Amino acid sequence: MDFRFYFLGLALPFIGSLLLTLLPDRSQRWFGPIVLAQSLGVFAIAVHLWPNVAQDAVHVFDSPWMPSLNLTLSFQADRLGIFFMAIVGLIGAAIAQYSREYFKNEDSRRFWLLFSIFQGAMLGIPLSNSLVVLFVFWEMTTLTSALLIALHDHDGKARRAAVQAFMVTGFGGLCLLAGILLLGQIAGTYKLTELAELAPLIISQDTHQIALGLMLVGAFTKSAQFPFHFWLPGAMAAPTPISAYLHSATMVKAGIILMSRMFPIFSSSPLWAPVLGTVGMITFVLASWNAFRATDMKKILAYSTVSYLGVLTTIYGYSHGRVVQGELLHIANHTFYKSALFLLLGWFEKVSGTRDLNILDKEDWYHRQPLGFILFIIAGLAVVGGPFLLGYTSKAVFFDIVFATRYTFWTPLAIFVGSCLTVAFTIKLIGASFWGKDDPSERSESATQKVSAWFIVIPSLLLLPQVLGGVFPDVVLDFLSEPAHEIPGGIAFWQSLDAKNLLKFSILLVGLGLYFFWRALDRVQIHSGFESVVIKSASAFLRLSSRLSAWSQSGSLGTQVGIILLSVLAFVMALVPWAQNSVRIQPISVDWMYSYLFTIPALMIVAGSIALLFAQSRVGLLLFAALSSYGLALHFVLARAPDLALTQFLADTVGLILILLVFTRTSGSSVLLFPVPRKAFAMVCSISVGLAAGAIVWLSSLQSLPIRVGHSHLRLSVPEGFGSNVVNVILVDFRAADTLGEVVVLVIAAVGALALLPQLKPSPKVEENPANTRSLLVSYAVSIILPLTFIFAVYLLLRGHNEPGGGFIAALVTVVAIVLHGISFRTKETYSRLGGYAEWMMWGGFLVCIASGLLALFKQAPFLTHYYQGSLSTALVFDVGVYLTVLGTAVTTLRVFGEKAR
Amino acid sequence: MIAIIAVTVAILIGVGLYQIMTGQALRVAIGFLLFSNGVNLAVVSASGLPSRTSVPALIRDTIEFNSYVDPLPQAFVLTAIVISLGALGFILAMVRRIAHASPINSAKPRVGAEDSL
Repeated sequence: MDFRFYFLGLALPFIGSLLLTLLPDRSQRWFGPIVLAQSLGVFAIAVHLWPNVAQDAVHVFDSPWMPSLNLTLSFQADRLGIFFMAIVGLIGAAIAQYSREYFKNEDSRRFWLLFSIFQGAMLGIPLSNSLVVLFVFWEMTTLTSALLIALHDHDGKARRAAVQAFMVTGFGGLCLLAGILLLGQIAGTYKLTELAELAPLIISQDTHQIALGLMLVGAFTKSAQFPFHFWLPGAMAAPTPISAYLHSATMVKAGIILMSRMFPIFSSSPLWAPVLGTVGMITFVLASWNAFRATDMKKILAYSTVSYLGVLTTIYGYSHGRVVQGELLHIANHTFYKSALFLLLGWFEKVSGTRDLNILDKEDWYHRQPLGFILFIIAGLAVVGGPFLLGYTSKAVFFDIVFATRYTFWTPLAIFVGSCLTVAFTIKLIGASFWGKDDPSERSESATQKVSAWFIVIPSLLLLPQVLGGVFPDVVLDFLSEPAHEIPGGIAFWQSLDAKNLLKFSILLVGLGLYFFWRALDRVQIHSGFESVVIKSASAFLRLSSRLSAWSQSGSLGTQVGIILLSVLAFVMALVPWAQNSVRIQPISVDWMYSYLFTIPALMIVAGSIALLFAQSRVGLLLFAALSSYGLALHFVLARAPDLALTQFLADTVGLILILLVFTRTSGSSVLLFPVPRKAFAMVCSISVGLAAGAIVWLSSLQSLPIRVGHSHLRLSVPEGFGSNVVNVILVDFRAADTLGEVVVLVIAAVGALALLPQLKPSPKVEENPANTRSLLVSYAVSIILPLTFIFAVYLLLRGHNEPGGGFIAALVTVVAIVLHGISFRTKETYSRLGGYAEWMMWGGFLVCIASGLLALFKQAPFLTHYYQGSLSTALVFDVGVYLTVLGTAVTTLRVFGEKAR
Repeated sequence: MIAIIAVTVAILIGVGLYQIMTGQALRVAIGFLLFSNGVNLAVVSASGLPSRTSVPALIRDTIEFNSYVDPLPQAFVLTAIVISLGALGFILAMVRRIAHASPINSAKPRVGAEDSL
């Protein structure tokens, strides 16, 4: 099978998302067509791939990811996967077209973007062959769906529903992860295809029940099964197209897909059938009952989705053998009628202005919108499994599976009750909304709104497969049923007029009776107890955690830092007794004479630090800090660390100048006003933490570690890193990924500083005339020194691989030069001149770093493997990237201080 | 003689933390500088102090491998120093922002009030 198309299909939504991110706001009108095109593309690819898998073939694509952790990027193409790909694409296209009209007058970038990312994630779930990969996509859908529910984030109800959905599905996600890891531990692999083969082995171990339970919690939360069923009706706060796509057609099916993937592994487990059968049936009855009682049409649809998902869960629970009968048929059946119903409801709400059955009951929409009424009837018939529709066959298969099981006596009873309720709420949904006693006095108020024709065309297109599947069952069922398995229970209703149909008719009659009973009761409202218990316990938990945060996070920097460090200290101390046994004290030989030299920098550091405690003026504070910092630089010189000494010297110079820049301009005194209790707390904290740190250093010196990683670096530096400055070789080659991460931290810090910038408005009050304060001599000197410094920086950069120097140091030298310029020419001028370039430098440098590692990927080597050719190398490119990023971030930060004018 | 280093680290971290806990912006910034210096010193010293015969980790043909100092902690600390600088920049930007946002900004400066975090 050609996997190129397969991955193109998987990538299309993400390519679309990227486009949507990059396009400017004024091209809003292209957002919809992009998503429409990508959805159609996904569908086309799925159709193209279908013949490869139609005969039940499974194609697997593996690519090693982290072999040391037994992780593989594994994807599969099988019937379910490709079929779901088609569904995601086709329904996605329908919803996209519908949404183009629905969100016409809104700023909809966020919708399209989230929709597009969600689509990609949703494709990933059925296409993953590795459970770990599946989990990643799974969590992506959790996130994007929560954000989509809260699309109208000004609406408090939508936000609460989003948080609730996120909490429930997020909790399920964590359980799923735990279950996956446990299963991986048991079986030694995460690949679904391999797990299925190992099924007997897995089942033979008792721990599999925990893994199964945890994974099922994940599936149940996603597919809104009892006891997690309550979040889905809440999620109906989302706009209708989102409900139609996420909460009926695709995302809630993720749990079903997971069960389908688990089926070959766990179906013979003693837990499988009882758990799934029970949960599915409880959900079915409970949700049908809730749907029957609801008066919000959308709530009814939501509960009806939950109830059908309960049916699907039961089907998986009670299936035997290798495959689940009619799996694709059930999914297709529900997807088409339910998304059509949601979209019809969206249309109806736009037309009538409400979806509250209490209001609609008094209005006659049957005469005003006959076409919509007919479509509702078709979809409603599909819900109850009426004849001439796909739903009929699906229902028949379901009955067959359940009645073939010998598990419990109450299952048929539950099905009977649930089905009657289903009939009742379906009649109610349509009857109460369209067949009202039209009150002429209120008619003028509820005038029909003019809406786009797409709102009715799309749902009718979605109902087409239902009708086709009912009228020409052989064609569709050939396509949807497992090869070499005939669909049990007959093909179409006229071919199987038997006991099951009698049952169906009785269900219809009872359902109808229930409906009239409901009308007679005048719609008594009862509140669901379960949901409120969950909500109450959730809010109690939130209260507890906010109280706990208020107690531990007082908002005062001092207290907070103290609490954090004392906790860390307590944790370390708790480890001491345990560590004592494992540490063998083995003094290293120390060169005493040479060591005494270290007292000189130590004295500088200690003197500077102690003096800080007593300093009362700003100048004093800065001078003593400088003494302490340069003392450390001297220590590095003695410790044979030239690169460190240079870096320390330059970095602390820049740091102190930054402090100077900020604090000479903010007025105020530095006299320490410290209330006694806080002072005592601070002293206790700092003394104990300081002592602990000293003790750790002292203890760590008492033993020599047997293997020093440094030695291998020393040995490999020249033969593999082609550089004799080992520190630099480690930075740019051996541990380049580490350095890349550190560069990212710098960029984040600078972006953070930049984010604070726009709020700074120049206060014209203390505007000075630059010419007056400029020292002619300094300016002259700077103009000579500056170019020389740049040349020196380039020299340091180029020689860094072999001699002290390198990207970091060269960048700091340049920064010092720029700061010098800033001091002599007034900062504002300097940084406004450089400011524009600085950001480009920062991002450009970052990209250069990444680009330098990409060459390795073409040679099948790990990212950031460097290649050397004479004096040129990708390592040098990487170092140049580091140089640019560090310089860019520093100047960007400086600019924040330069922009002010006070 | 590692005891000297241990004492220095203890003082750097202790004084740094004390300055941070004062909550005064200038002292917080300087305290942060000291604190990170203390941690850096501790990390570099983790591989022991060099002796008279040690040489920097710059490979030369004539020198035996055992004489070189351990380059690994040095590489760690080098980036750590630069990152501390970046973090200091962010802290200072925050100080500027707070000083600008506080209502006292436009009024006459009061003792210790304006630059407290």
